[in-house]
Amino acid sequence: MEIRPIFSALMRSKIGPFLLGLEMALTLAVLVNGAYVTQQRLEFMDRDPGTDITNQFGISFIPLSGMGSLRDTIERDLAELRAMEGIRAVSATNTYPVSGGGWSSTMQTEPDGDNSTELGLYWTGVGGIDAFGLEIIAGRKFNPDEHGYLQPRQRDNTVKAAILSKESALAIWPDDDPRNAVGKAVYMGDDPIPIVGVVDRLMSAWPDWIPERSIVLPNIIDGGSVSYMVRAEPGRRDEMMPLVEAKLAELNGERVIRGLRTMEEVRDRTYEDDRAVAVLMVTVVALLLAITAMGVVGLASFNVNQRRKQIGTRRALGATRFNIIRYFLVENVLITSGGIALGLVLSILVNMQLIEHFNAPKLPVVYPLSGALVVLALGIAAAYWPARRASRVPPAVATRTV
Amino acid sequence: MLSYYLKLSWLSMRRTPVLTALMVLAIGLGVGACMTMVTINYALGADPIPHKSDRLFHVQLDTWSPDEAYPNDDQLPRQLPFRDTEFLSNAGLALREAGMFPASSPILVANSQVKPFTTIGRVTDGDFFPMFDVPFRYGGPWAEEAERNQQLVTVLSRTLNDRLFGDVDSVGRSVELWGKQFTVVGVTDTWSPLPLFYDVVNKGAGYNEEDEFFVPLSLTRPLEIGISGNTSCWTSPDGDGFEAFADSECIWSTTWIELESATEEAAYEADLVSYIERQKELGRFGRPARADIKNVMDWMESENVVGDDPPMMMAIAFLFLIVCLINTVGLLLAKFLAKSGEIGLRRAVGASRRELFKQHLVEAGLIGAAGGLVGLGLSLAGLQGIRVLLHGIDRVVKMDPMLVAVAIALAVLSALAAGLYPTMRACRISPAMQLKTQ
Repeated sequence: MEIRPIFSALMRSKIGPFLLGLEMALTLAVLVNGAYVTQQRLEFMDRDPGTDITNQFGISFIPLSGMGSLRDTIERDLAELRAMEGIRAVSATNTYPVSGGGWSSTMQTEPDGDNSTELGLYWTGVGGIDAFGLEIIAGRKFNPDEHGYLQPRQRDNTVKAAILSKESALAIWPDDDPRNAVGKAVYMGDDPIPIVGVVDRLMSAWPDWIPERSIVLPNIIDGGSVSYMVRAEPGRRDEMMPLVEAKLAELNGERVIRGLRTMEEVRDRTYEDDRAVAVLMVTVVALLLAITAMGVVGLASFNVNQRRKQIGTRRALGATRFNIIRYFLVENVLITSGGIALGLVLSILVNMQLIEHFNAPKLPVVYPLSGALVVLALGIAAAYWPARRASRVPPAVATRTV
Repeated sequence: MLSYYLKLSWLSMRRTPVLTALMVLAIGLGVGACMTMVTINYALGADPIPHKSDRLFHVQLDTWSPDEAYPNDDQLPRQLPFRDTEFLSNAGLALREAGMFPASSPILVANSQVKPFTTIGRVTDGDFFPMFDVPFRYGGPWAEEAERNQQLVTVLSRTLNDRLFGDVDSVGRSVELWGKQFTVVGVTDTWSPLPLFYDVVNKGAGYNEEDEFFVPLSLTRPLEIGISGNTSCWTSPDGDGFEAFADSECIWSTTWIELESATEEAAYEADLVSYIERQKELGRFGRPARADIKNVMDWMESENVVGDDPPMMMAIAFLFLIVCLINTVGLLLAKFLAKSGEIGLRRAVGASRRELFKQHLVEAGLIGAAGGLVGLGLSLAGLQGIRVLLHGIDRVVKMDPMLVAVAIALAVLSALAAGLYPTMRACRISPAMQLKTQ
């Protein structure tokens, strides 16, 4: 191939190809880092909460002064909702997984011991494991006699049982099989809470802090706002939501019912910032690739127009149309290669800045490499159209004076 | 001459409509992306109360466990135990002192068509209103006497007042909060500082709901008003019930103070340290006596209110603009060099390099202005898109005239910068060469 003449021709027009190379280098740097940030966010949002999220929804209420006994209301609500056709399970809870807000506490392996682990708490009643849709891998669910109420700001509460997530068990006893947590106890303050079961997975309320460490407790909080986790029969969630809301209003009107949301909505709301970053990154990168492609087309077209006479001369001297296309494509690949070389360095530099200022992780090597291939392909694809136009310049052009 | 150059530019742009459109679009996209991100960063990082932000201070005391620092060795706890807030908000150590915490309650009006609903408000001192320059539509803050006598009084936000009563003067009417009848003494006018700087601990990045009502801090204990926000404890309360919780070392309240001038900062901090020393005699404050006050902007920064994402996206947007500009340089270069013949002719008939330079700079500027308009439109669209992505951000994000001016200026400056080199190259074209090849 005629790389040497192409190269020396390139060297003569320096600034145009240099600009294009620089543009490609920056495009590569943004593409690589943008793709990596996006991938990180997607992975972050894609973690399995461990629950039957597509069939679940939540609803809350705040008592008004005429409500009467809160406990009676809750017991009646739960019994009536469980009896509804289309509802698979329901329980009270203080918060929902990945909701962004909840209650955490340190748990010790001995009373007031040093070995403490922070866990996200789910205060639920009997049926909590079913309503959350958790998979028990050791031990059992709560028994009815373990169920109780938790009096806020009272110290004599008794918590008779707890179920840990596998990750919580591993965090508390790192050297033991998480299944062996059953039969042990954790201390929240001075009193032991026996562990009766371990579930495979349950994310806490905070996706960015102790995300996988949670503990389920069989007590319902007696006071303030009450929330229910409702799990519908598969596919019937949307149909059940208004029915449940109406049912609660009918059972006791002396309350403000609110917060009717699917668990997917709860999760999406928590991940809102991350989704925004992902969407914006994808948009910017897509626009960037489009702009760069247009730049390649524009500059190559200009080159073709400038060299119509030379192209005609080459064609008259026997160059085939394929030769002409190849010339422009090779020229483009030369420019792009230079751009990619610079772009790889820039990618690392941008990544270092992101690490320094925004706590981003280090770029895995596969990103710059595949990014380079994308930019190379983009350059060739964008240059093809002007190159083909060049190949259609008739040899007769060489003989014309103007 | 300028109008002649504008005409020439217009003709030249019309001759190559695709190339021109490409350049305008490139600049527009670059400027649009940048302005979208700049607007968001500007809004989130803005000084919410510029005329006195250097005299308003958030108070921090090291009340944590003797055994460990919280949140770490360099920082003090973000909130205060309620008993310290109670003391500091009535200590008379500063010009104004306001303790506060968020609380929520169902709200009802007797004999009203409006169904009960839940509201979120703030339990605070009367000093809150003058300290933060809260404007009033009707009535005013409660009297100090009302606070001392634990009267059931409240100030409603304009939004809440509209919802409960319509936009009428409701001063003197009653609303039910926590099952008790409160008398309305004032209604604030539209007031939503951005970010909601006085409670970033509970309101996060600052584009959350505003407070809908305010009630006196002195009612906290008698009405057992629970906090509706962040609570952290290193030790359990020393007994049962609300009193024990209010007296505990759990941190769930905040104190803001206003000083006569920023220079009194050190003196106030010294007062805090001597308060800690006195408390140590009562067996509290098991850690070294440390206290800190931070003014509004320092507190915003230490809480990282803007967050990491917006500046990161802004940096990416600027890289994008640079690519768009390089692209424009390349295209302008191509365009101007394609006009070599015309330039040569004009030079031959007497146009000086200086005039040609001006002419082409006008053309670049015109493309920049067009790009600026496109960019402005795109940034409005971009902001609209971000409103869809992020709930509640529309309270934060507004395009003000200054930002519009910045967008246009950014676009024109970018285009001129991009046009400079191609223009210089165009002026260097020698007339003889061009005329000869014709």
